[in-house]
Amino acid sequence: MPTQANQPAQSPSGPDSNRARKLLFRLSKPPYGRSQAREALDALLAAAAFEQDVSVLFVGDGLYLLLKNQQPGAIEQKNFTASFGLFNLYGINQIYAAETDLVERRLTPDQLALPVTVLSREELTSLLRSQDQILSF
Amino acid sequence: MILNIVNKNSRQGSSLEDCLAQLSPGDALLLIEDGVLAAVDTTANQQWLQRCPEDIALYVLQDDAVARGLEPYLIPRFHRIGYDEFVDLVEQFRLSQSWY
Repeated sequence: MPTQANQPAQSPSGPDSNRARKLLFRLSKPPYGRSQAREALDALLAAAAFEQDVSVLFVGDGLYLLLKNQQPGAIEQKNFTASFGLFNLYGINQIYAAETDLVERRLTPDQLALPVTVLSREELTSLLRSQDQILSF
Repeated sequence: MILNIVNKNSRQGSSLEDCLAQLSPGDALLLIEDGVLAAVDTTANQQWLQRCPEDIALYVLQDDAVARGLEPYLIPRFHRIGYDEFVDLVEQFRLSQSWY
């Protein structure tokens, strides 16, 4: 932020160094056509393994990542939803979806392979603002 | 007559829109890979479909829809085809044009 431009960078041994950073992974692309979603998953699991405070937000066509009954064997790819089983193991339980984007795609939470907290536009804004960092995929 | 093959939906660039602008009577449009998202029954997709001429045959590659769990949600106007029929289509049309 501009107001901090002249401040010394926070020392790694500073008082905040042990605090878990709030990282929000924003997934906005559909599965299989490109590799973004797979890369996001690798990154967020790594962050969680290092005990960061990880949230996952599904928006736009990224909501299709959550759809039940994916059978990517048909195009010789691995099932993306199979990785969701790891979320619990890694302590990732802050999982959100944008309500307007769900409605736009005529999707309801019962069509999704993972329980998500559905956020209104206002709730989404406050979630984003509460983070230390937003990583977009 | 041209077989037009689109592998992106309208949120991933202009390929679908560019293709629509180019379609002529007797042409066919085949959606593959992420293009199958454009065949899902949503308001946005019904809108582009309204701008697509009636005499254009519409196809969607079944395997890509199944892979994404989208098969139950496809707009009925699309014929669902497999790889064998994909090959038949390419054979049937003198020209194929891919839109990225």
